[in-house]
Amino acid sequence: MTDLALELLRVEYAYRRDVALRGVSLKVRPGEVVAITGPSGCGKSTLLHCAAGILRPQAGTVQLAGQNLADLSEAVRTRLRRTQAGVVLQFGQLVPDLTLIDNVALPLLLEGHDRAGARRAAMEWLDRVGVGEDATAVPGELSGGQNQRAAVARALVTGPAIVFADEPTGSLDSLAGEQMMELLLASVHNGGAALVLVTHDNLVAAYADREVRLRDGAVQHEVALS
Amino acid sequence: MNFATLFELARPRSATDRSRFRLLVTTIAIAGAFLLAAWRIKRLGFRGYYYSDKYSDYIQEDGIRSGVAFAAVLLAVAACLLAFQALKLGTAARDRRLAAFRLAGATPNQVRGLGAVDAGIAGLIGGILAGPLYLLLALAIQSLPRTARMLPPVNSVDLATWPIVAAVLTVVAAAVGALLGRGVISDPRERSAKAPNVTRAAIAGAAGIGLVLLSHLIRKEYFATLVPLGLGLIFICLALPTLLVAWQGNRLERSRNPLKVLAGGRLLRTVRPHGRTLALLVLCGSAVGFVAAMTVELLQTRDGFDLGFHLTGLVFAASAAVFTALIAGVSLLAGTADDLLDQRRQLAALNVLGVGEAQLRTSVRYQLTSSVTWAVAGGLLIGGVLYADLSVRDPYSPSQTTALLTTVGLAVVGAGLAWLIAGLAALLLRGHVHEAAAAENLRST
Amino acid sequence: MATAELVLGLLHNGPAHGYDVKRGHDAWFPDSRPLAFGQVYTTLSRLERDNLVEVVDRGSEGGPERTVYGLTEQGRAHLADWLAEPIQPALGAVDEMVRKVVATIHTGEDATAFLARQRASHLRRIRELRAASTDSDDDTPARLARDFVAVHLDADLRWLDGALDRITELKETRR
Repeated sequence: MTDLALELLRVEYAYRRDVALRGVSLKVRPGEVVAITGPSGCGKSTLLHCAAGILRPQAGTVQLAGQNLADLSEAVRTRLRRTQAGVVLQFGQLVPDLTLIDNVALPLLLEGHDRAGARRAAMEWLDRVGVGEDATAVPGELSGGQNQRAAVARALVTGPAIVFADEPTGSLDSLAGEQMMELLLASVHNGGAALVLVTHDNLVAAYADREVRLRDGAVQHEVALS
Repeated sequence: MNFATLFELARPRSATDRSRFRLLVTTIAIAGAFLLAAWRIKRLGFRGYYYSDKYSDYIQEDGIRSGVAFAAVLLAVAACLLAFQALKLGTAARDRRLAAFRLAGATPNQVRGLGAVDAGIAGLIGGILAGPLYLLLALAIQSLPRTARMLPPVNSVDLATWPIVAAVLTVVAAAVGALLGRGVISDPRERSAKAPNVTRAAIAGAAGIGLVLLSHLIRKEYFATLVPLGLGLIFICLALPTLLVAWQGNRLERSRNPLKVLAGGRLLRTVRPHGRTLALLVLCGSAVGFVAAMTVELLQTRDGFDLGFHLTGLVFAASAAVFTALIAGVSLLAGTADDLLDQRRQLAALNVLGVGEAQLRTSVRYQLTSSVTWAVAGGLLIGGVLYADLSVRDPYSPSQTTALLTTVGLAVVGAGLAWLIAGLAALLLRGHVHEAAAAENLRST
Repeated sequence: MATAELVLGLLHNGPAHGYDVKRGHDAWFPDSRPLAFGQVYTTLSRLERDNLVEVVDRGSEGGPERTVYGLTEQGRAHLADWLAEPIQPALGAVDEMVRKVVATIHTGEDATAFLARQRASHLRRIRELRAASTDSDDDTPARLARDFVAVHLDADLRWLDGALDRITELKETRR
């Protein structure tokens, strides 16, 4: 039982014939911000999906919040993912049929909370990320920036140990992107969570304490930035 | 762009495209078969008694004969409506593809050409298949006892009517396909799904009830009384789904079960595309309810005298309604599958939260059962009540109690069956759910 | 270095002492080297000779520190013209980093290690600039200057990635 938020050991993954990861190892300490960079196709997103437990690696181990994912049953793994890992994607992750507040409350409802409590917590988070006024709107009625803020709220509402962000500013212009990164960092620090940022944008990578650069599915280098 | 290119570009590509194509061909074939049947009956002439010991009295008596032909045409129209629904499936993905064609330099007319070819080919194949289907229908009906032979056997003239019907279907399908294929360049962002317009539906429903009450002013003997009654029924059928969906959707959304919340949200946002199919279900339900009430009254008043004659007609009417309802159900299923694939990225993202395939299937089941069950039950009740209303105007009609009790019982049974079938249908969507929740859908651009 | 035009800009809001001009410049560009007094007075006297500024008040002691300068009509026009003219992109200027990378290719040294160190250096500098922006009160001109540097550092890194890809490709095709 380590106190690392995330540990990957020699993880390998291939999509049918396309090898995406060749033995990648990574350690993330609690509260740390790590940027995973590299050219497109280097395996960054695959690494994130393996780390978040969305994909099962063909070799190697993934330890999330101290627990080896392979040892767990599907149900326990899902619960662990839901409570310990938050995910923010580039776009399109909110359910278009539900209002923002219902979207953010969803993880709590899945955890078994009662509706009133879940909505209360969701509203608090929506206020914190600055879209409290739009709580009763559906994603289709709002801008990309507003939706991304709600996505951050949804990722953090269960108080996870680690947040995975895959190109979170990819669909936003530079000013909105900067605001998004500041919000993400502030929210993550508030909750004491670690942040793993997958990005090809150097300006986004500069927000991290450490950069891990991938190339062709392997780690090219690791440098400390703080 | 020559025809070969058009054909190549318009070909169905994905699994969704193929199932849409199949549904389109099926509904057009069914429409064609019913049109051929109506034409066959028309060839007996609409005036004068047609004496025959081989056919049912329904087509022997001239008044009823035109009714049967009209009923066949109505069934063809219902099948066409479902074909139209099928044509509109997969709109988001197809809009994107058509917009891509426009950007590549295709003119609006060329894009319309694609739409025309796409629908026209389905129309052609459906029209061709209508022939054998009609033959099957005629043979099946001929195998029934004499009173039930609503359709005369196929004759040589049908060899001529078949290609004509097929050609008409092809041309109409192509025309509708061309009209629908716009290929607008603007980014078709998530279809701005509108919430159900409850006020408008309530007004329409009230108007429908008003029309039914209005029909009381016209004496029962005149056929004219059926006009406001029929119109009122149509208004109610169009209004009910919206009200139903609003009720069930909001109820589900207020649940603490997140899968019900998802189902409720999806119901509320898909009321426009699915509302029409649900309205058809309500209409079919009312037809069955109406027929059932009529049967009960028939059994009460007549004692064996030409009972067989009336019952046959009623059984046919009920079967036709059930058949149409089943096709409508398939259409609804296809539409739901379409919605799932439309939201694949969001559903894959939900996978991270723990809403896996099994949970998604359950959510879809909640969605289908809540809407279909109440639509069917509502329709059955409306049909029975409408018949009671009509019957009561006759001072010699028997007490309506038995009939109304039957209606309620039928509604319960019908609702139960609908619930079961909807649950099974959700199972059929397994493949689509799997495709929607796949992790590949999370790839960033 | 368009110091003359900058001084005109600093006098735009009204006449000022040479000392105020220097202070204004340093406030506008907090990360650049502070403007030397000598340079301020040389520039001001040149501008006065060219009739772009004029002496508004000699001051009681008569020394250059007490003189108050202000813009002339010509000075205002000159400033407006300068602001309206777009910058010509610098062509042919070969940066230190380009020299290093070219040298790396020819000497056959390990480029990966160089990339790692250069990325670390550039990214740290971007962090420092960002921290400075959050520390100070929102002074938009200063912030803009820092953003400029950050964006150019980003451009350097992107160029570097591309350059190293080319080198790798070249090595592989030659093998």
